[in-house]
Amino acid sequence: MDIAPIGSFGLGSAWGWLTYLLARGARRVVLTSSVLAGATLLLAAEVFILAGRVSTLTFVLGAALAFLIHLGWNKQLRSSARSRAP
Amino acid sequence: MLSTVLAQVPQASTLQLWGAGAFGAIIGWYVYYVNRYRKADVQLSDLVSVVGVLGGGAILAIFPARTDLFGAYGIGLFAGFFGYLFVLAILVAASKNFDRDYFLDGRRKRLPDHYYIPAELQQPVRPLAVPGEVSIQIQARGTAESSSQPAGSSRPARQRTRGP
Repeated sequence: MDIAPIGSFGLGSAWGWLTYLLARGARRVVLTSSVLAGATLLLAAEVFILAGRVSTLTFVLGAALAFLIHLGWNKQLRSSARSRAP
Repeated sequence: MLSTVLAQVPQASTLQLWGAGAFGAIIGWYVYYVNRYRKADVQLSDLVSVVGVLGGGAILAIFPARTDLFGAYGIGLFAGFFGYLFVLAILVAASKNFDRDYFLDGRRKRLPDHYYIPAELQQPVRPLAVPGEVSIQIQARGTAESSSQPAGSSRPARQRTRGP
């Protein structure tokens, strides 16, 4: 069984989760977003070289999914904290 | 022709696969740990470091292309990174001093009078998120309450408002 696509999904998930953390903490949003996008392309290129096209797709999918899940979780935490605030 | 090329690709042994997975797990755990204890705002050098650690030249050099080693590394990385978050969530859920808002900005219950945190101990800054609007509200409230802080607490006000 080829485990490269699964591993690429794992790498992408960790990267997507981390991307949200790093992007949220940045002051220069445009610069940070550009650097993060460039870094994502770099990692995707690495995955393509090491593991091929399918793995690159699973990497991007994992990154996008983790980013969105993290974003959603954070929003949900914020709204629940705000609703409980006196 | 493709089958000839694929036949020439070296296959990784089980021990190598486990090694690559364990290596990825350590990297993933450590990346989450380092980011959680990061005190300053994100710098360009931080991004370069993270990309370098996750998939830098070392990864390209260690794992030959078209082998399962890279896959095992990615699976291990996932396990280490999200394993840290999972363990943290279990510890927060088990503790009476924290609730799930800890993941928002690191808030926790105020220390009782007879407890204190030694000043030399490092406090984690970013459990999950970064200070946002909720933290700002807490900061405003914390400023108003600062006069009622217990005398035994040694944590400075800035750390308390920004989280662990």
